Parts: sequence; structure tokens; C-alpha cells
Amino acid sequence: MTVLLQVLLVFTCAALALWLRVKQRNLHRVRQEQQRIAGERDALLQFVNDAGKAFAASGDLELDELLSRVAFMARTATGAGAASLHMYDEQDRCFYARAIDGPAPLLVPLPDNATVSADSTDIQLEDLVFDTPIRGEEGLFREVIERGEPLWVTQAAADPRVPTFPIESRRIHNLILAPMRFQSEVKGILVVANSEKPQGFVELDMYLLQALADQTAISMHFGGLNEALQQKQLMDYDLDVARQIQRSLLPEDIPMVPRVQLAAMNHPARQVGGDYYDFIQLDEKHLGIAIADVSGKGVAGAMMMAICRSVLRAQASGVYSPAQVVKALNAVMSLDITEDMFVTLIYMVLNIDTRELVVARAGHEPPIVCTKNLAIRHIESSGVAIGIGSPDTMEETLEETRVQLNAGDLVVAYTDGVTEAQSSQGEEWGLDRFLETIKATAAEGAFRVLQAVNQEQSKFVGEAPQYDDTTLLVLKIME
Amino acid sequence: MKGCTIRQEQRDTFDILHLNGSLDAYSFSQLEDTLNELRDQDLNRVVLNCEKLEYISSAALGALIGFSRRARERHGDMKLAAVSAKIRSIIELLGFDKILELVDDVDTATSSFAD
Repeated sequence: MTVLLQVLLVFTCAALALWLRVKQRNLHRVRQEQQRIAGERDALLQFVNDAGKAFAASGDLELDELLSRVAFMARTATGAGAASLHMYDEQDRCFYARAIDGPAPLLVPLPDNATVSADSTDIQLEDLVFDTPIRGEEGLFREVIERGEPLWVTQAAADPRVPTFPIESRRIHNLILAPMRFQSEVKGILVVANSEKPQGFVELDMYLLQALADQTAISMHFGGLNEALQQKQLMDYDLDVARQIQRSLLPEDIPMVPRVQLAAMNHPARQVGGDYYDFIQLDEKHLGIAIADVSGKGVAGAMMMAICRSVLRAQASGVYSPAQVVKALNAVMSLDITEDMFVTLIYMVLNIDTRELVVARAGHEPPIVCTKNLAIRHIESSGVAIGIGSPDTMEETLEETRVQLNAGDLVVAYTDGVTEAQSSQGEEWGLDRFLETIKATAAEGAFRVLQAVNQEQSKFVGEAPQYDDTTLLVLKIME
Repeated sequence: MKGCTIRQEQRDTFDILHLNGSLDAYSFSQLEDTLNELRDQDLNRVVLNCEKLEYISSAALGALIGFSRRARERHGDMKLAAVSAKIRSIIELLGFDKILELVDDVDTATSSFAD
């Protein structure tokens, strides 16, 4: 019995010892694992922190600076020897390296026209990476793009997809490529190469790199949108200011003139063109009437309009000859006007007692007279647009026409936005339809004519967008 | 709105620009570049052949006046030849015919430079 007991004791001790040793080894392994995880967690936290800061600031960063930071983060977060970020160029249909960190390797075979040697400097090798385009159909990039997933190559030397390079410092030993994805688009490729960790790249590195790549793609997409939005906002602001200026130029009220009906309207278009009209009560007997159209758009056009209106009012005071006023207006505005911009203008003076209308026409559509009998004539006279001819030219060419109006006569002044308004088929409303509408409603009074022109033109144009202001003045002589 | 093509031709001491299409704010910049190039080379006698010009915006016309004025300052000119009836009526409405020289055809334009 003693021998059996002794054997059992030894066996038990040995088993116990073995069990203890196994447990100890497990414990050691568990502790190591713990440390590893803790290390990775720290790295992850650090990465998230850095990336968060970088992307939060990305709205203010220039694109290249953002990309440089991303390359740096990619290298440090994954413990790589080098990183490179490649962006897709729509025009050239290939990828260009936009940022590198560390001695980034060339990811395609060395181009025929390039020479490298042991004497090549770092800058020369860097330039090689920046200058060599990579097409999406070749090698490593092709696979990444096709799969839309990161690619991790551990044994690069043996891998046929990885190009070889004559210089040791830039050889690829291992690498990870991650596509920069936004929706279904691959905007670029983020690459890390030659891990500096003893165990090499790990799976976490691949996930980190992909997360970074995607975040960069998102930032770039919205950064680009931001720029476009800012430009649009600037343009909208410009148009808003222009519209406000223009609105402030129009008369608040239409003057009440004994035995004369007056009606006026202005519909600004989407692209502010700058029409305006004005009534200037010269004295009890004389009313000045102006309608104008400026060639420049936006704020520049609106400012021209404002100047024109002020100068005209100043020149018109106490002067009953429209031609004289327009010549004086031109002389002043030629100094102010930007070359190439001009204003077309009708300025007329109505004698309320005698019903004589004196008209000066500076390059503008001639006013229309529709008599009681519905006969149409245009008040033609010679003249050049304001701001384009020298004062001498204006002096020589501008004339004024005197028209004796009678009870029942209707006078219409308009800008080309009225007749040139187009339907969605691209057809102009045109002078003929305009005249028909006038004739059809002349008997019913100035306001009715205005209303009818507005209605008929709107009906014809339908939903088609308008590019020019519509401005209209109607005057009817009553008994 | 379709654009405008420009074909350049040199004849003696004049340059002829054959225009085909529509000139508006967008398509005008190409013509502007060509005219600026000619001016930079001190070629100030220019004829625009408008036979195939379908449309020109008033803004573009204003800009052409600027060019003709500058050409005249350098003892040259910029003339418009073979303008269509429709475009002519716009030019006359604006009174630009008092400033720009319009001629019936390219040959008349180039011979009128001779004086």
C-alpha cells in the first residue's frame, strides 16, 4: 500500500505543478493581451482626438493643409514608416499624390523616363512620387477601387501587384491602401507603407486607416460644397443689394395730373437688368417723364441707374427742353460711366395745358402713340444711348420731336423686356402682339392697357424664366 | 444660346474676323480675347464679318464700341461688315451707327481703310 500511495502523491504533485505552470503562463498571456489592448485603446483614443480636432478645423483649412495633416495622422496612427494620399483628378482621369509623410514609396513601376540612383536626394524621390500619375485601372489601385475595400499586403516582396524599386530606402515591404469613399464615389486613396512596429501592421491599423480615409472624403465633399455655397451667397447678396437699390429708385406715387391718366409698372427679372421710370413735376404746367434701361447687370447696373436718376432730376429742374436735359445728362455721365456700359433713355416733357409732348430719345425704343381711331405711330427721333457717345456725338445727333396730342390719344413708353419676353418655346412676344393688346384696350383707359399688357404677356410667356425687366408707362389724354 | 466661332484672316494690313453664331455675355469673351491679342500686336485695323452673325446682345455691342474707340486712338478702326437687317435695326435704335462704322461687305470695309 505504501508504494501505491507514494506513486499517487508524486503523480498528484507533478500534475499540480504542471497545472500551476499552465495557469501561470495563461495569466502572463492574459496580462500581455491586456497591455496590448490598453495600448491600442490609447492609440485609438489619441487618433480619434487628433482626427476630431483636424476635421473640426477643416472648414477653415486650405485643402492641401488638410491633406498633409491626414497623411501625418495616417502614418502615426498606424505606426507606419510612410504615408501618401492620392486624389482623383477628373480632367486627367488619374490619381495624383497630393500629400506625403515620411519616405513614401512609389506605388507603380518606375516610369521609363525617370532615373533614380543611390545618389538621388530625398526631394528628388519625393518629387517622383508627386509627379507620377497613377491610373485607376492599374495595379494596386485597381483592386482597391474595384472592391471599394481596404487592401492589406503583408509580404510585398513576393506579391506581383507590388512594384519593385531600385533604391532600398523606398522599397515596399508591407502596405495598406484604403479608398476615400463618399457615397458611391472614390475620391482618392490613402496609403501607409512599411510598418515600424515589431509585429508589423495589425487589423486595427486597417480599420483606422479606412475610418480616416472616409472622414477625409466627407470633409472634402462638404468643403467643396461650402465653397460653392459661399460663392452663390455672394452672388445672391450682390443681386439683393442691386434689387434694393433699384426698388428705391422707382417713384412711390404716380402724380395726379388733371385730365390725364397715368399708369406705370416695373417687373424686375431674376437677373437684375436695371430698368427705371420717373416722373418729375417741373412746374404746374409741365410734367417730365423718363424711362430708362441700363446695359450693365447687378450692383454695377443698379448704381448706374441711381446716378442717372439723380443727374437727370438735377438737370431737368427748370428746363423744358428734353434734348437739352439729355445732352447735359450725357455730358455728366460719360465721366462716371464704365466704358462699355450705357443707358438707353426716353425723356419727355408734357405740357399739361396744351397737351404738347416733346420727346428726346437716347437709343431707346421709340414711344408709341395710339389715337382714338386706333392708328399707331412711333415717335421717332435721332439719338445715341447715354454714356457711349462723346458729348460731341450727342450734341450732333440728339434731336427732340414735338407731338401734339389730342383727347383720346394714348402714349406708351416701354423697355425691350416687354417685347422680347420669350415663351418656353423660345418665341418672343414681339411688337405686333404688344400693339394688338394696346389697340384692344386703349379705349378703356391707361390702367386697363397696363393691366392687359401684363396679362397677355404673362399668359404668352407662361412658366419660362425672364431675363430682362419689364417696364411700362401709359399715358392717356382725357377730354 | 449657342456660341460664336471666330475665323481669323489676314489681308494686306487688315485683319478680318469672320463671325458665325451668337454673341452674348458668355460667348463674347472669346471675341474679346481675340481683339485684345490683335491690339497687343499693334494690329489696329480690324473688320468684323457679320454675315453669319445671328444675334448680338446690346452689352456686346457696347463692348465693341469700346474696341473701335481704342483702335481709332491708335490710328486704326474696327468696322462691321455685312450686318443682317435685324442686327442693323438694333444698332440704329441704339444710335450706335453714329459711332460704329457699318459697311455692306468685307471688301468695302478693307478698301475704306486705305485712306
